[in-house]
Amino acid sequence: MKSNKAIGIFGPIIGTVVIIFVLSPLVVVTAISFTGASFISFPWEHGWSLRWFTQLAQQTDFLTASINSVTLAAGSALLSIAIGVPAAVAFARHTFPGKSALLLYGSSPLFVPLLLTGLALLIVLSSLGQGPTPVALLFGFAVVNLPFVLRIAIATLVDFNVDQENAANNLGASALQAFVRVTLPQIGPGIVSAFLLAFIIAFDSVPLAVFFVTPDYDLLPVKLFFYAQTNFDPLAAAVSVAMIGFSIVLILVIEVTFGLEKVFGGGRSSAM
Amino acid sequence: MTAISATAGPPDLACSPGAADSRHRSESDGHLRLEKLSKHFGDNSAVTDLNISIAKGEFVAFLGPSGCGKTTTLRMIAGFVRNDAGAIHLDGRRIDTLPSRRRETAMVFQDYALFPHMSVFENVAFGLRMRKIARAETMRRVGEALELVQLTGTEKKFPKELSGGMRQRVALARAIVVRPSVLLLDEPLSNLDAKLRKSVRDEIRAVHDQVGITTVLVTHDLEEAFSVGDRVVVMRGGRVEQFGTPQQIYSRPANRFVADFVGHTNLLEGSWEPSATGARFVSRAFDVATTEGPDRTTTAVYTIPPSNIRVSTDVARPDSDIVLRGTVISSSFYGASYGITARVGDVSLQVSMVTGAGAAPEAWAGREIWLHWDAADGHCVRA
Repeated sequence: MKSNKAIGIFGPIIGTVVIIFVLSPLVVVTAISFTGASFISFPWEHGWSLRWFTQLAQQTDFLTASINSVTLAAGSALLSIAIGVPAAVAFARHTFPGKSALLLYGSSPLFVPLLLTGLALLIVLSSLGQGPTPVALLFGFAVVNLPFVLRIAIATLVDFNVDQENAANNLGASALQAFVRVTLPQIGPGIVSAFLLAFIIAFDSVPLAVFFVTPDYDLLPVKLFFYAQTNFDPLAAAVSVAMIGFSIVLILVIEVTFGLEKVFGGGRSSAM
Repeated sequence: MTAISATAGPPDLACSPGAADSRHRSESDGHLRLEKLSKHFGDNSAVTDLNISIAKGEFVAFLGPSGCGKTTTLRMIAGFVRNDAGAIHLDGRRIDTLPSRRRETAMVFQDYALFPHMSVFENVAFGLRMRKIARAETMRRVGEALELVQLTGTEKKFPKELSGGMRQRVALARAIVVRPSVLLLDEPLSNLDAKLRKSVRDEIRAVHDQVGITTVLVTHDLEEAFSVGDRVVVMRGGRVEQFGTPQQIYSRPANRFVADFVGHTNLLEGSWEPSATGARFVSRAFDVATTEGPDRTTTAVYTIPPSNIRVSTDVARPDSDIVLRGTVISSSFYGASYGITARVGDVSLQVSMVTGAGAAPEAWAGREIWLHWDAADGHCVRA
């Protein structure tokens, strides 16, 4: 009871402090993007303007890089889901020789710095006589994302009552029908969160992507990284604000989707 | 309710065998036959050489302590667990090689395993949708099934909005709506509170009697097994200890384990030996002749129900087949009855006395009494 009381008093304070620390950089970046000056400064010092957003809209290379990054992130996240979820079913429900070793192997990309993974990928590609292509990078990120997808999917599936699938089979459903109609709707939220995590990792990672960027194929985080190194203008801030806006829209879409799903009785109540 | 039984009765069960099939099997073949069924998990054998034959429309309860193999047996019938050896026949057709969805069994799970993201209607309609039954027919049959379990009007509710007893009934409706050949019930009452248990138990039996479906129930609860089962299979360690009607099992337990498990409290050790007239049970406290018995002397247990023992505080020796002199250790008042513990030599006996017979056993502690019964009231079993 004592500790609960302590949490009751300090909980909101700690929460507020954490939120301030997390959000303040975003607030600063957002403020800078609206400056009228040609160097990084606050708009209340040098006047408010949308000039950096106008310039961003005119600079199509940022848009192209963004589209490349979204495509790459979505593609690699989908691929890691396609590999990771069936693998998670095997890990969560079956015992087989070498299971722990295989799970550890599946998690191993987690223990290797991304820069080394990128180098290793390049070396493997060159030994195969291949260059650093976007498709190769997509596969590379799928491997990097796999540990996260595996962990989240296994955790979700362990909570799921297998007897629901048994019940479906017993009532005449094939294994695939049972998975699609009974299991998938319930583990859906877990898979969506695994997808989002994988998407974010692939979207904003510079270390692995940096080896695959060419004059014809640019990616947003890499472009932003090099731009900020050589330019000291608020365009980078405008790009950041555009990304924040995109994220907010994405989160709203997911919230609405989950809200609807709750209306239909979904959610994570798997122990039924 | 009566209208349902006309449509959902056995004659139009979707899975009734063709006439050609039924000609090939003799009457002695059961509707559901488990033949030398065995299953082991790793080094542990869960079920060994199980042979059970169940008649069409019969309600059979598998009874035993946890880990006795009863649930594994049920799951083998349903097809969730593959048997290592032996066979399962349904209507003369071998089903243990078929996937679960082709076996025409329907299971009610211990935790119901309802689909939480589907409404009651969608849950019950699931099996019909998988069978591609037309929409109108589906609506009609789901309505009938829900009426049968008295849940009409809950179609749009979700499982989490229902009480435990209602979820149980949805699970039952979901199983019977597909008109399976065999209904499988896995500890269907264990998650319900004691008050609800009795009414749902009676309801399960009532639904069985209306639909006339062959039913296999698994339970660790003696009262549940005896009250719903036409016949009861008592299992221990993956083997059948006894298969018979509840009356047979209670009054003639096959061995000490069954006697103990079905609630016989007075188990007296002794030996069972052949005699000129048949056989005798011999113990330190008493001897008694039995009509049947072993060919040679074996260790045995004599069981006498507490309610079959009469007591007398008279000085005169009562006139019964078996009369013992004992000392009352304690007596407890239970309302409708008294429970008396008496010591005879080195064994103690439990006696149940109906209240209001004139006696006042509450003050009997330490008193010498006669305990007596007739030979026909007791029973001798192998140890």
